[in-house]
Amino acid sequence: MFRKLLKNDLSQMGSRIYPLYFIILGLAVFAKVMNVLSSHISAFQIIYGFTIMAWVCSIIIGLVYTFFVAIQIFYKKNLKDEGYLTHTLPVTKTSIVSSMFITAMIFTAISILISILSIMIAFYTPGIFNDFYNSIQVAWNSLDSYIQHFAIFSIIIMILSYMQLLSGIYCALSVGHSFSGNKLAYSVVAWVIIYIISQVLNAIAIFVLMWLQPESIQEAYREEVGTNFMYGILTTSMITNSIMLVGTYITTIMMLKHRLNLE
Amino acid sequence: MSAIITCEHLNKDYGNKKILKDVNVTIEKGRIIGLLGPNGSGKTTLIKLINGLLVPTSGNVLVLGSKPGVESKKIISYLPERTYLPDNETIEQIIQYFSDFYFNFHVEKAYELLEKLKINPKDKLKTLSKGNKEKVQLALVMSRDADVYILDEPIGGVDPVARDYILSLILDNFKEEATLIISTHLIADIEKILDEVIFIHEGKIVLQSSADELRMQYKGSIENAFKEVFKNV
Repeated sequence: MFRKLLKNDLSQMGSRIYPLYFIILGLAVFAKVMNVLSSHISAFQIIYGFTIMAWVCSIIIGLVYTFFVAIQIFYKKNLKDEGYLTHTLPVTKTSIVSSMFITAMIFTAISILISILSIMIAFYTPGIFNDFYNSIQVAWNSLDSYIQHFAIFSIIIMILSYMQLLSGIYCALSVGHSFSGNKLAYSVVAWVIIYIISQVLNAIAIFVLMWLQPESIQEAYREEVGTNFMYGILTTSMITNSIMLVGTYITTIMMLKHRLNLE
Repeated sequence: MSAIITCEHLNKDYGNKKILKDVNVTIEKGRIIGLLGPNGSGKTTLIKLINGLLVPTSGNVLVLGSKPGVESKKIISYLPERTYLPDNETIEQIIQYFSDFYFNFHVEKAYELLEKLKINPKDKLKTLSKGNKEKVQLALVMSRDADVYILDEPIGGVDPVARDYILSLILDNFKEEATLIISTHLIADIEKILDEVIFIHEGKIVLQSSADELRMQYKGSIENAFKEVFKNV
């Protein structure tokens, strides 16, 4: 059943987002053509400039829109009229939430890949893929191992933060809609409470870090931010993000299971 | 006969407003039951509780002895009082969706019913009128080989001419041993098909009785019984 839910959610979200991918890639191709033409005929310079602007906007809109659609689909399929269908399917609430969450993450990844692909198309020159790969490799190898670790940690934290944001909004909507009346206002209140909890958790984590590794904080006071301090901060950030992600995810499932309120 | 749905001391509040008040109902297998009451009497709330779309404030709803969940949803085919299918999809896609999730859904039967209702399965739902959307929903719900059908106001949005047709479509398409619960305030239109009636008023069950007994008691008409009972409430 979970696979069927996932298949359905992927197809539903895809039908909303594919046209935008088509526009992003189309603008990238058009920008490349204008680039070639403008190198021969200067009159095309203006069109090239506008195309680049439109293409950059489409990339930004694409990423924001992916996030927006993920939230909207969750809202419509769980908490509005379509919830009557979703919540009378013989599937568990865990499957429903997980399927929507995984779908949102998959499309976020695809949106990022489409953006990268469009950059390569817009600035295509023979051998660009090799050049891109080689330059990444050279840049990576030139970094200290400490900076490499920092980069890997940062990417993991960015992914976790995005997952936590998405899960937090799912949770806030589910909590807010368990009340009678003013459901969206209660959702906003729930979101503020989730935010406060995450900040309190961060503060607690920093205190624990100070207690376990006082030398890392002393580094920070001396403005000699070193490996201890950076690893400490990154690790606590990963832990607090993970706790909030799991907490909001489980709360969302529990709310839909025990406090569903399709009045 | 054994009970398929039981409500025990069921209460439901929306904020400070009490919608259901200590409802105790037992619904047995193989009966056609009319859940009858004026608008706002709590019929839809009771149905939503049975389907797990709401959670009781107190008390219990049991379907085959268990709280509403995955197992109860396998055997209940539910028609809500509103349009609830995704507007952007074609009817064919929605049929596929039902077929994916309900093991007891019959695709051929769905197409057959749509043909009878003169609805093109290739149409997108958003292009249909409200009445036709309701007919699509009914066709899909009746295409399941369910143990319990719960239809919330199935004839509410249909013109009087089409009502008999819709009722015959319902009666022709559910298996004899199944239980059918129909909620409505249009009593005259459905009274002839009922085995049992439940009268609900302001969140309280005021009467649960066999339809034949009521007909005998109130000059052959359940509508008369309804008027008489509600006059005294």
